[in-house]
Amino acid sequence: MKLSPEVLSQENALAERAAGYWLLGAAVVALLPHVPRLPVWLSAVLAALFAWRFLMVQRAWPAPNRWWRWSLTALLVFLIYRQYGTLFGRDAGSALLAAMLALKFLELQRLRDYVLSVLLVYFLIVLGFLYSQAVWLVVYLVAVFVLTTATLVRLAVPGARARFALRLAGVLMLQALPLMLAMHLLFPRLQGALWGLPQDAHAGLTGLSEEMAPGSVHELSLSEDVAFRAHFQGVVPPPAQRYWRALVLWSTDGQRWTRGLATHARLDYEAQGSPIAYTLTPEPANKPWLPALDLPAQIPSGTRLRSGHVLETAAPMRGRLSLEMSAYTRYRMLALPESERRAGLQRPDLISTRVQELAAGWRQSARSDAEIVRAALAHFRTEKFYYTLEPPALEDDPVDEFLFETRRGFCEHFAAAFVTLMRSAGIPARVVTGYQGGEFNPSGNYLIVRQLDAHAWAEVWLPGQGWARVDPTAAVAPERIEYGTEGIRRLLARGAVLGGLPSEALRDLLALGALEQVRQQLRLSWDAANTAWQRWVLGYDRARQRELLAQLGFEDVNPLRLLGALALLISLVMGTYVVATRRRAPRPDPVQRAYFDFCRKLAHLGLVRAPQEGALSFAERGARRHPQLSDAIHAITQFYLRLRYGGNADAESQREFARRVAAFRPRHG
Amino acid sequence: MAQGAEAVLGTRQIYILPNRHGLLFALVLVTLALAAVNYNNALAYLLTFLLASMAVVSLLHAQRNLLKLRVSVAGGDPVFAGEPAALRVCLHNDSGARYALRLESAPARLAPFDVPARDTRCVVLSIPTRKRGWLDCPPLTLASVYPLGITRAWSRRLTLPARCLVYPKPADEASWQTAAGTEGESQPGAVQDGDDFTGLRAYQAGDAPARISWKTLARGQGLYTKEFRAPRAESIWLDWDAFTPLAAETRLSLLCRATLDAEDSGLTYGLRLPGVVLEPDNGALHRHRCLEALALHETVA
Repeated sequence: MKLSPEVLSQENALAERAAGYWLLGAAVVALLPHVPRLPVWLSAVLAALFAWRFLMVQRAWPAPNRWWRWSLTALLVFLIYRQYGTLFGRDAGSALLAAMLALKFLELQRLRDYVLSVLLVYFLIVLGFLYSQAVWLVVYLVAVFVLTTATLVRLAVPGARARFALRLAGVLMLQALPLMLAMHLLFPRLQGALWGLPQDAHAGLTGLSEEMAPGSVHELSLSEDVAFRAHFQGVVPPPAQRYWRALVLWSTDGQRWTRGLATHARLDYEAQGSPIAYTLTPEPANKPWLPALDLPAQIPSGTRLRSGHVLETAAPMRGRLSLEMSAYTRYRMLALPESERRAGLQRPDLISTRVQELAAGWRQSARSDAEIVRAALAHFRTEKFYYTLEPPALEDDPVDEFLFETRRGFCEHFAAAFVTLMRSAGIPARVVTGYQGGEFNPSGNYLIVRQLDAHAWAEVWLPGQGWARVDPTAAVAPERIEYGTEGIRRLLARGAVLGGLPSEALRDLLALGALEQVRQQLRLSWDAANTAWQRWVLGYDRARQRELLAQLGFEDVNPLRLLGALALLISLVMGTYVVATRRRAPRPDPVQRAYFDFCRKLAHLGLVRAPQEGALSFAERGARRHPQLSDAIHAITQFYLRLRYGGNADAESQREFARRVAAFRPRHG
Repeated sequence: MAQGAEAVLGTRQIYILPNRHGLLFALVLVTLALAAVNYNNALAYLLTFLLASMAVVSLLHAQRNLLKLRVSVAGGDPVFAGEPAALRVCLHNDSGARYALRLESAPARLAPFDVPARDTRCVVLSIPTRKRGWLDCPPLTLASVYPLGITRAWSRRLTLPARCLVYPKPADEASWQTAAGTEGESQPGAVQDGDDFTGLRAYQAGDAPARISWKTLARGQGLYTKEFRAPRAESIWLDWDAFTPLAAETRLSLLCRATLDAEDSGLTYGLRLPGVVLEPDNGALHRHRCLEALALHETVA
């Protein structure tokens, strides 16, 4: 339909009055989270354009003419292109969108311009999520979303009050939630991006390094960042079994340990007992290794196994993912591959005679490899080795210096020294790095493992047993294993000496104050909420979708079927609703109910009201048929009409009307 | 003259489709979905789903906004052809409030209005008229873009048996003069002088000197003109055959004019049409009867 100019301007005036400021407000609050990322000049330009719009409305400033608008648009597009080198992708895209929105504000002429601007604001909101998915941002943007929807409502219902518009927007959103959930669960997810992910999202992520040098694990021990979470379906393993292996280090020069042997491998051990099933949700780390509970029982899709039973993902973990895992804590290996034997016996070039002599002494007096291991652990216990979070610096030959001079160290010192000693004694040994422990969160039956739980331990090959875990740190400071780095820190802060205290004394020392307990509880609850969010919303991907549908009994899903199911579900819901509204007669109000009673009473006299008969003509007919009731019929009918169409049907007069009808008792004349 | 009727909007009478803004909305949804897929961003997905779901839910709101509304039309007062007829369309709402209703009846397009809960709102639909006779209420469409402005819900065209009487267009002064000339008599509607003195009125330029009330002038009371009227019993006939050579519609138009003039002049007048004779009388009801007869007169083709 062609609209005449005056209709047009009327439409514009109507839209402006209804939603002008709302639109401006929604656009500004939707833009706010973007501002820190936008170039300063662009933010300034945007602010100026919005201010201009405000003055156009408030002070009747002139709108720029078409020539100005086009030049300004071209200029901004050019500047944005120069800034980003492209016009596509997340960064340039959001800058461009913001600029277009601000420019659109200078030419809001028709209702369509307003609606388009509102839709662009929705776009800005979604772009905000591409940068951050933090909970506070979600809360903020949901509020912006409601405001934006309310703007749309005000454009559609010009007379709508602010409260009405906001309420309707909220109601629509709440009512849409179940459907949204269905779409979320059923909408087919694709693996990977359509045009390849931009390179600009992942930086500054820390995690275990692929080599171990004195101090490298210690660096992590200061970080409270979450490394991963593990949800257990059943029993959570006790602290002494919470060893999460990430890397096996074979090769050393006496100072640093590196992976060396990193060939692809198979799961080749003999499992004992039943597996522990869990879901691993690592935080993005930009590293491929995947900490797995000792020892992994399966290789989840998208990951591969390296020698030493360590898992890694095919690509660095940039996004979030959840993996279904399981582990056997008891296992046996029978044959030692030749490559592993060679790598496990490789002695560093840099090895002092003192170290070699110590190992040779154990070898001479011991009857088996296991006895040598025990001797070494006893050595750490009896020779006044200390576990400390602030080890003294070691210089040229860290193993020698640690074993014979400082005797103070951290897990990595103990592991490196132990493995060096074992290799000197002719026992194949290797260093394993990963995490040990984790904080149990009862609100979600899962463990939170942080970077400060990073740990290094040793594995030795014992005939008949295979690669057996030996944690020299545990020999020196069993508290590290029982209470974690956090516990150690607290114990040390309270002046405890590690390695000798009875467990009651430790518990007393570790007891938290009431306030600390509340804080810990809050922290854990928050983490549980966050984790559920992570798991079911942010981490919901193709694999999880398949798994969920399989649980519901749908094994063979493909995108087309999913879409079909979704369409079916929506039409089913809608159809049910429409049928329900068709069946349900509107419930008459009390006045109408009473009037129907009145009609029923007259019907007993043989005076039946025709479906289309108006109240007044019915009354006249009734009065003619039953002249003795004429007054009563007219009185009630007048009262009824006054209540129904007079517009002042307060509760009292409604009751009065009902009483009058009740008092009306016609008898056959 | 006027008849009332009512229609109730049931589920079968209501249609909903996305309007132009809805197509724009769909385009944005698709783009958002592409962004969500490309960045594999769960919240982008969620928001896209939320918007889509809200669009779906809004369909139900749109339907409920029209459902069970009762529409009634009351025919307006009679008008003369050429004047717009005013039909009163009332929307009776027996449940919760309805919003942004727009009554459409080509070519009229009224501003949207709300109907509060359990209330009635009426709008006047102004329809241009050209022909005399009954004007049937044109098909009405009740539409609304509630709640988000991206859908248009509308009712099937409601044809309500309401009508409005359209009198013939009164002949204008010029054609009146011409027609009266051909007639050859004194003008049927003009004031006829009689013998009865009815009173004095202020002198107007052009009054015959014979009529000037010299007595009052002599008394120094000013210039007055004596008025005489035809006696009340003396009635005139407005006759179809008086305009014999003219076309039927022109005659009706002239008779309409004559009726109006006669009534305005306080005359007693009767109307003679082929097949219809209205005895001389006057007053609003008589005037209406005459005009109605003129409006509904069936001309033989």
